[in-house]
This record gives sequence, C-alpha cells and structure tokens, in this order.
Amino acid sequence: MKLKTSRFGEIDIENDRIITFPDGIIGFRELKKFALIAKKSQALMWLQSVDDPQIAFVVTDPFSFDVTYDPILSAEDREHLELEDATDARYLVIVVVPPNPKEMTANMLGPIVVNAKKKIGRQVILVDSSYSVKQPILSGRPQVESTSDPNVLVG
Amino acid sequence: MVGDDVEVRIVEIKGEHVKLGITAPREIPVHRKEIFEAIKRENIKAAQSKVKDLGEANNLIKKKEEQNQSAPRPDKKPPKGASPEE
Repeated sequence: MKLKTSRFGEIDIENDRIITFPDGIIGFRELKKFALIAKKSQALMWLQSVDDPQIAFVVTDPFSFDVTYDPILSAEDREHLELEDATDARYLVIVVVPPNPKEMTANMLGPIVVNAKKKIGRQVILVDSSYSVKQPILSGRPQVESTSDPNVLVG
Repeated sequence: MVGDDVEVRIVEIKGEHVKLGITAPREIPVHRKEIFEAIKRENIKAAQSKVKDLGEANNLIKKKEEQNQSAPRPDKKPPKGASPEE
C-alpha cells in the first residue's frame, strides 16, 4: 500500500509489514496501525504510523545491544497478542535519539512485542522487572535495585 | 480484597500520605501510575524527536555490537529476539 509520511514522503509498503496495535501505543491510543521500515544491516528502524503521517518511532532490537535482556510477558499480554507460541514473539524497544546520538536511550521497561505470525503488536509494561524507561544504549544498563518480591508494589 | 486474589493493604499513614501495598497473582499486572506516565512521556519524547538521519546513531550501535562480540559473553544464552528483517 501507499503510505504518506512526513519524514519519508510517500512510500510503498508491503502489506505484511503493517502491524495492528489494537490498543495503540501508550499515549497514542488512537493509532492502531504501524509499518516497520527497516534498512538491511541497520540496527535502528522506524515504526511509522499508518494513520498519522507525522508520527514515527525509532525502534531497535533490544537483544542487539543487551544480550542479558530477558522480558517476561504476562498471561494478559500474551492473550492480547494472541500469542500461542512464544517463538512468534518479536521484541522492539523505542529509542529516543537526542541531538547528541551518543546519549540515545531505549525504553526497556515498555517494549513493543509483535506476534510475527498474526502481525499484532502491543506495548507491554514489564511487571517483574528492574528495567529502565531510558536505558543508555551505548553505555549499558545502570544497576537498579529491585524489590525482593517484584509482585508486591508499594506506592 | 479485590476479587479473590488481589489484596490491598495500608502500609503506612504519615500525615496526609497513605502508603498502599498491593499483592496480586503474577497473571494480574499491577502497574504504578508513575511507571505508566514515565513510559507515556518517553513515547511522546520519542515521537517528537526531530532526528531524520539515523546514520551516526546506527554507526555507534554497530561499533557497540562489535565490542560485545569481542568481549567475553555471559554464560546465559541470549533469548531469541530475531530481527523483524527475517
């Protein structure tokens, strides 16, 4: 399909690159469809809104820079994603690229999970986790203390 | 109690502030509003980024990946997070 974007002009995107987000992205609930625009051998990709030409997120594969990343999906999230087989899950994290790209950060606490088979996407919030919403990509994970029982949240 | 298995306790009362503790089974996600708001803020920041050219950022990541490959790996096998390219 033809897609209008503010960054790339009008682009042609294969239909199988369109991912449906039934609940949108957090803060952008009304945007339900995105296209993943990737260039070969480049770590950073664009997740471009189909509905709003202005909105695109820079995303990347979190495992490429953090081999210890271990996101655990809740039963609820698996259900939303219609994920029957865990191997169908693909993970992306949203990257903030500031004017100095050395300071770019990734949201490891709220990764985007895609059911690769059904092309359903969802931004999940990891419960059982000490991950940061702004983990520096280049310098690695800062040590964050975790609660002894991550299922008990006090706030 | 909320339903059969979600427990809400008052942990502490200090002046005007009440600290609540929530115990819920693993299947029920309990998200603090601050976490939700923090993710929303990062999303908005990401969407507003003016960066168009990711060339330099891509090069920096590539360099980091090369360093990771030459550094000794942790024992744990990385989870399979294949790129959507495949």
